[in-house]
Amino acid sequence: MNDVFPQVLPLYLGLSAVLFSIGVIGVLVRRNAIIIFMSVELMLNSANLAFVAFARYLHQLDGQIIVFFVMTVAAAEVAVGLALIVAIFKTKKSINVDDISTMKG
Amino acid sequence: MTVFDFAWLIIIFPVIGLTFNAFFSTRFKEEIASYVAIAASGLSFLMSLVVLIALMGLPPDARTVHVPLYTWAVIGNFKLDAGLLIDPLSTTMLMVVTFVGTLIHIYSIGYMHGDSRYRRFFVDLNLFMASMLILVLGDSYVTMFVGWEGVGLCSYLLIGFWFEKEANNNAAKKAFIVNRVGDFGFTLGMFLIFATVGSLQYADVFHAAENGQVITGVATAITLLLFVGATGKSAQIPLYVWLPDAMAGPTPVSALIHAATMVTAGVYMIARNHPLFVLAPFSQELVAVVGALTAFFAATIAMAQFDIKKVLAYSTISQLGFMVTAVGMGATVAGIFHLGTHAFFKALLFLGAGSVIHAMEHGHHKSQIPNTQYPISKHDEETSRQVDKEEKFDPNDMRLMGGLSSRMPLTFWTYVVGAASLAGLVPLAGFWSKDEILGEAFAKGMTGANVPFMIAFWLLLAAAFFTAFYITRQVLMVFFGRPRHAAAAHAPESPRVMTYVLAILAFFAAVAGFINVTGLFTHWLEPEELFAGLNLGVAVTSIAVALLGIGLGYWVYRPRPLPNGVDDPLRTPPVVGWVFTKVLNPKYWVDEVYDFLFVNPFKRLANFLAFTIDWRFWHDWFHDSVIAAAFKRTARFLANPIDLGIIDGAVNGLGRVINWCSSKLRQVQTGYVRNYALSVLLGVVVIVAYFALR
Repeated sequence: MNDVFPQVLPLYLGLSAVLFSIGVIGVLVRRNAIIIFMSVELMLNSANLAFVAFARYLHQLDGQIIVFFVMTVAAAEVAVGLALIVAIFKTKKSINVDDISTMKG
Repeated sequence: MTVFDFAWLIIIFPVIGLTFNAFFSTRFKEEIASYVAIAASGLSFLMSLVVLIALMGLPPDARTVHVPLYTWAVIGNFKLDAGLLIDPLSTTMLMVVTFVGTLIHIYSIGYMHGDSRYRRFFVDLNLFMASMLILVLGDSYVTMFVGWEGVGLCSYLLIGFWFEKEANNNAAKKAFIVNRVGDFGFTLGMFLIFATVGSLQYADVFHAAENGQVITGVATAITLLLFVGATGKSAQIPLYVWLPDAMAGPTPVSALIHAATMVTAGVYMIARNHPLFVLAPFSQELVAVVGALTAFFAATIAMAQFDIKKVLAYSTISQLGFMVTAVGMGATVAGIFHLGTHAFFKALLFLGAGSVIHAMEHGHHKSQIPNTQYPISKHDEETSRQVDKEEKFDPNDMRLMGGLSSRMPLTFWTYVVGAASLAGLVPLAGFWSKDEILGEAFAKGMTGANVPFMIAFWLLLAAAFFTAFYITRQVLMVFFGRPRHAAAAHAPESPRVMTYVLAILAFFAAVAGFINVTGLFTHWLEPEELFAGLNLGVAVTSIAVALLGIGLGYWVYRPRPLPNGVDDPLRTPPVVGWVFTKVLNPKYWVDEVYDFLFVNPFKRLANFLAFTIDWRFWHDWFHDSVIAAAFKRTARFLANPIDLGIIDGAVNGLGRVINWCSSKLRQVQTGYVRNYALSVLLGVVVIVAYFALR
């Protein structure tokens, strides 16, 4: 069977890298906590994409299983994160992360 | 083992007595202390008697027994042995010391009765006995010196026995310090002996002296230095001044220490060193002349004193002068003979005077409290002196006495015996011994044509005249005429324990002289010496002189009323009165001269040293300016640059550095999530780069 996947793997990885970079830039430059959060999700999912791609490439299911774990953890993390954001909003009336700088030295 | 091997018991008995009395007697009644002390002294006497009899049993040329006891010290090649030397001389001294000592112990029961320091008195007496016996029995100069200093200490303790009174303390200190001057000479003499002979044992030294190893010059130096010691202890010119003041002590002490025994230590020492003195004719002449001068001057001073004990004190000095003259001339037998008889009659006189003083005090109390039987036991000399302070009643003052012969007959008769013995009336003890000294002086001075001894003879003869005079004066003032004070009118006879002792002593003061009438004592002490016998001419002269003195004394002081304001008949005649008042009564101003020459310059020097050198220079200047200032400067240096600068600076600097670092580090914590995220990213980039590029 002539599998073409090895030839297209770089495309997947490139997409994954692009998504990850977008996520990083989003985390670093945006001030809205929800946007940052979404960027973090983007980064997680770019990693998931890389995992899945490699799992296909290597004919191993480990990567796919890890993706499930990542998604589970991400879901839990979203729950905690959103809760935090709500709590912050309740006290600060803002979700701008630069306003939450009381811990500065 | 012979009896001599137990001779150390003589010394041990008083030591046991004093140990018991000092540490254990407070658990018993006071009487026990005196009984123990008397027993100790009495056993010592019995042991001395045993030794005497044992020594008599030996042939005359074997009567020098050396009893080694133990090795005292070993320093390199020098070995110091402690031992006893038992020979006729030391045994004679033993008998005198222990016998008179025991009697005076007994007398003290009565005299010290009721004293607040009764037990202590007997401790001191026993300590004195032990020291004196060490002095007498020691077989070397060092052993003798132990006793020599021991008796000096006891003398000090007992003169200052009633230390509540300042004057008594001063007298004690004077005695001690004057004796130190003498001891200085004695120790120098010892050093010179050691440097010359290389040993301090009598046997070695005298052996060397007899073999001619000690040349005349050295022997003169040694003997003169030893004589300096003797002038201190035996109260000779120029160091006699302490003895009259020593009368501040209790009267039994005056009798035992300052009349009968301790003060004769110098005489004993010169007699003991006879082999050395023989080598130094100049020393012998000097000693004889000094002794005779002392005898003469002290006798003249004694004529003009009013204190009953001061008269006896100067009399003692005078009689010691007789003894020193004798031993100085080499007439050891005569000197020691007089030492023995003097111990009896002078102890008798002192104890008699004590009895009179005792009676005067009690009489004074009785006259103060009429119709009341004053409890005699409740007071003593000291308390009564305190009571009498307001009206200045001096129980020693003969001007207040008079007429005591009928009130205290036993004291009176014994006193007369002692006085006659002192005056040298035949056949009492004092006559024989004094006459022997005069005979020796005559033989050596006139017959031997030796000018110093001749001078000594005439001085002694004059002294004998004054002796008879002053003792007659004393007896008449104290016992005859009418009582001149209420105290004398009420004076009771002393208790029997005192008067019986007086009687015993009176017996010996009367008969002790017979021991040498036939040369028995001479043969005992110096078997090789020929007994000269009585020089009839000298004897007649001395009796005539004594009778002349007594007669003149009686003529001047016979019971008769005196003009008002005149306390002594000798004050009224023109020249004699001036001499009496201005020269003799102030004791030739010797104390004042000594004060001017030695005491005051010394005090000034001491003040200078104390206040100027020690206080102002040493304390104020040296301590403040040097020690304290340097300390302050060092402290300031340590405090400021070192502590504040370096140590505090280091600690503060460390704090400041940490503060600065942390303030810089703190700025890393911006509080902006993005910054943290960026640093996480950069960390990841670095880690990934590391893994990728390695």
